[in-house]
Amino acid sequence: MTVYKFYREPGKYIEAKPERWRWEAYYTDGTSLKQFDDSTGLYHQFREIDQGKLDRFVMRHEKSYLVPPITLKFKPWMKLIHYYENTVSYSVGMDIQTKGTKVYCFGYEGNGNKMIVRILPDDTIEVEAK
Amino acid sequence: MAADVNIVESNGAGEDLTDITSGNLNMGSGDYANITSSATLPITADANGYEKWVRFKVEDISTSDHIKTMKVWMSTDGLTGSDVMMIYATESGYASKAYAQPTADDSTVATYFIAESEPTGANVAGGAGSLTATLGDGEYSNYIPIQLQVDAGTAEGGSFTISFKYEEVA
Repeated sequence: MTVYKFYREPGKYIEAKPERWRWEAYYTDGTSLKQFDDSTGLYHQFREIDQGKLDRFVMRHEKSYLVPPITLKFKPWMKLIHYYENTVSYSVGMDIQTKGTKVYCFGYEGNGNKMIVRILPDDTIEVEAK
Repeated sequence: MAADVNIVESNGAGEDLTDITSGNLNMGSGDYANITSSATLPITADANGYEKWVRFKVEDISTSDHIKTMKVWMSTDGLTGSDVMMIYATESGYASKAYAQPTADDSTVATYFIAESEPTGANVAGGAGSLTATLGDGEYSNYIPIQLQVDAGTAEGGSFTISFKYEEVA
């Protein structure tokens, strides 16, 4: 498994394990920023994305040869959103206790609108307008 | 790797801390974490379980930036008869609670009926009682006191699901 480096402080890195779904930001000037950058071996945080020149935001599955990417065409009035929803559930009173799930979420808000795409653990997709 | 966020339970006068993320949240007639089964420390009819005081804890923020929008709720499928699950978790008018040794008396802090579906927004706060607060490395949410109050007509304990959810910005 490829290990990516994340520098929280200069000269000291921690290892970032690849996610099942990763983001890629493509800019209007033809450059890009990828959460897991194969060319540099670096991990990037979402806040590093320059939304001022963002053209499109892509969510790509680790098995990109099997699962097509999802693309959000960006508009200047949009504020980009990306986060993971993590849930821990306890079956209280049972001997089976905890279950954890992770949902990959992204979308935008602006102009009084908000739209979130939720990628569920089985990779089915929910689109939620708020 | 993503952030390591745990659910931590507090017990005793001296506040012993137990990471119950991979444990359990069984209610019982004693002030203990990880009560091993429903047959251990059963709650009798017309009595209360000991309060549970739990929190989210960011054990290691790792490569992520922060967590936010913390929620707790319960499934509707499991409480027996007129049993009620009380909690302090609310989407409005939130005020943080200071830890106190768990009690089996009627809780004076877990005074809301627990939400029976996922809340729209955060109902657990961080910082000084802020529902919009974010948590970073090593930080805890505010306390979430929970108490099961068993009805006089209940003959045998039920089972149900309590869920804790947070958003992680990576």
